[in-house]
Amino acid sequence: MKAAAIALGLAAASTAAHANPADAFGFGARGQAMAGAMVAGANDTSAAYYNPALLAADPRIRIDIGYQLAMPRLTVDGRDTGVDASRGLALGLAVPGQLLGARLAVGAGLFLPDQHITRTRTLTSSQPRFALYDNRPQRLFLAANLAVRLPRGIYLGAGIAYMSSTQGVVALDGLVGFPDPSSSQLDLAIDVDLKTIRYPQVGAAWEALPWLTLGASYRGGFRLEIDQTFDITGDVGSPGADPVVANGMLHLRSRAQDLFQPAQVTVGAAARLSRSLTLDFDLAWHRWSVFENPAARIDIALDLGPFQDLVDIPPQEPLPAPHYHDIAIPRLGVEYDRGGARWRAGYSYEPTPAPPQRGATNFIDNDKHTFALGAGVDRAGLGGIILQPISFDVALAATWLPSRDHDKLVAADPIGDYRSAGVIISGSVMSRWRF
Amino acid sequence: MRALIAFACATATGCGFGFADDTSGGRDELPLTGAGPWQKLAPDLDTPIAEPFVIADPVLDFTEAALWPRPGGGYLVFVTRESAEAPVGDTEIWLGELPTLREPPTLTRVLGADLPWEEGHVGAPALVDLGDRLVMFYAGGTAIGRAESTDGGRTWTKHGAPVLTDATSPGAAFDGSRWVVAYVDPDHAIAVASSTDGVAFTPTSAPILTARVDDPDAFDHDQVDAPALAWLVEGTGRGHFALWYAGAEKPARPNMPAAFAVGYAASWDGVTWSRLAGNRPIASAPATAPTVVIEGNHGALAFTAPNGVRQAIGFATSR
Repeated sequence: MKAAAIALGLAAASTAAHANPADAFGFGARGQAMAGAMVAGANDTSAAYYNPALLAADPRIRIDIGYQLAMPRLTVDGRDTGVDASRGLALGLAVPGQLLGARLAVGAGLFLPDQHITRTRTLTSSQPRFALYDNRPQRLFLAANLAVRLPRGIYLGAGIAYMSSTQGVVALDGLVGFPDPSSSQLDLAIDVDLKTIRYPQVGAAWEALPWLTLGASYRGGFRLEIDQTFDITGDVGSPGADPVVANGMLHLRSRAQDLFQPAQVTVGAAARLSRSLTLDFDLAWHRWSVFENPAARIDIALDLGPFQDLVDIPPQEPLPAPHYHDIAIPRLGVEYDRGGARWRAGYSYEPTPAPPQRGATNFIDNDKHTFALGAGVDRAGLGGIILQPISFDVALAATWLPSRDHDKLVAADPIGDYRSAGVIISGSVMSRWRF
Repeated sequence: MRALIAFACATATGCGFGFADDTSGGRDELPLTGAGPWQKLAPDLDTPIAEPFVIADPVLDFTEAALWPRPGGGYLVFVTRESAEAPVGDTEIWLGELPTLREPPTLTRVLGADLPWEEGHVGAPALVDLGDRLVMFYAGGTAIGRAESTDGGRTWTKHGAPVLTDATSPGAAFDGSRWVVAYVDPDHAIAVASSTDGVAFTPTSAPILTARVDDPDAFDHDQVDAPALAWLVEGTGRGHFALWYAGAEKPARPNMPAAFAVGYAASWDGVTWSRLAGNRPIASAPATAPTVVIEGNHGALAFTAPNGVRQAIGFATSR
């Protein structure tokens, strides 16, 4: 009861955020080794990401801690584009309890990158970049969920996750020195808000048969926007002299989509085919069709008084639509438990949501085949408060992006034809502590 | 317990001890078609040249260069040089080596005007590499001639008769089976002619680029001039003809040259051409008579521009 109360309190006051390193590379060693086929089979704290309902499946308190690493080599015309590696601590917590006779659990998952807490970068619309890996892996990932076990083997779970978007105004007011800029006398004011973006995640699981569990989850999509405004107002001239321009003004506003996560629906099954063999299958749908051009939209207003006619700032061309489309992702994982050791393998195929980049945009993406292997062992508890066995898991995955040609429609394209390809090597080590 | 210690060590090793570097972006490794943008060499007080100009002289004009990769790095530059001998206006083609773009080259004369149809001047070289020899197309009189070199451009043997008449300022490219020469026709438009042997050329019926008189804001609203041509094979294996040209928005003022900038057009087949979208140049004025070398994903563009009272050769590099 006490644990359940703590769980409810945590859920109510949770400031969970949920982001994309897990989308890109999986979460936890077991999930990674099974290529993410976990919506019906997540039996560790990675359920906080894969299916929050399954947090209530185990009556024990669990803490998972480990380290994840993904090293991409994504190339354009055979040259590495230098996409950042993603690495950091992975932590998970599940606290079960009882409330009105039902088992409740609260769970939290955290991926804490040790390079960037968050990455904010806006590139020009035409600059080629691997759109799904540009900023996505560089995020703090934090999720908190509440799960309940109902009669008839039904589990439900839900959580609210949110991230922040950046909105800021930089204001300069005073005298802009001309012709000597060093004589400028400007007051600076900066007002930046990190506003929250909320999105839900919910999950359900059903132990349909003693050997079969069915699962489903929904994860909301979001857009994370950078909205920056620069306002410069004042006179232009020399101190003590009549201004060359009185009450001049420059207003510049830049809005860009820094990060996009598609809404995701996943259904799956975990089949215990024998005492030692489990097969997991997931099918996920990702709504990429609402992905927008992430380049900055710039609005400029300028008042230079008598010199206004000498300045011609053309309006920004409309940003071309990226024309991404929804995708379905099958994932297959198998776990073989024998002699106290668990062996795992997985495969997933993620078709690209991006069309060939034949026009003005260069938001590159390729199909992705992920092959994964993993293993886990249990060791006796250490005594004291750690009486339960401790588990150690490792995973190694290779994601292959087969080469893809982007043949431009127009010969005079500023970028021209190119070939994208790549491979991502990822791995993780995790330990699980039960209490 | 040993497993626990091993796990802790592995985790600690990963935590910030550097499995991978922290660089990102890849801007330096992006594909390059030559469509710019190009950045003129920035002034550097520690060099003996006045950037962006690399080839300049206080007395003589240097114009209409052709750039070529130099064995061992850097560039060979074939440049049109005003003749120091009378009569005024005669020109020759000189060769300089540029191991770097921060030192002036030593120039040697490689081609002079010694045929009647050349009318005392040769210039505006355009080069094609056939592996065992270099082919140069050059302007002479009111025609375009051809010469070949088997020693890397140091000595040349002329074809004799011109390969195109009523044409000047050639740019040339060879796609493996077809030669294409772009040139300025008597109406001051840019036209192309094609050939299967590089000697007998057939001009197309209409010019491929004319001044954009309907777009008053276009950088080439008033004039087009001085094409350079190259056959570029891209990362997918498909190739295209790339054409750089000079354009001027406004006519020249009295006793002043027009302010040219550099634009870009391209064609898959050498017949149908398209300009780069928009109406802005890829290299800003003053810059005319472009010539471009692209090696991998880096490039250099040489151009002609006034340096004081004389014309000189400046450089820009891909950003």
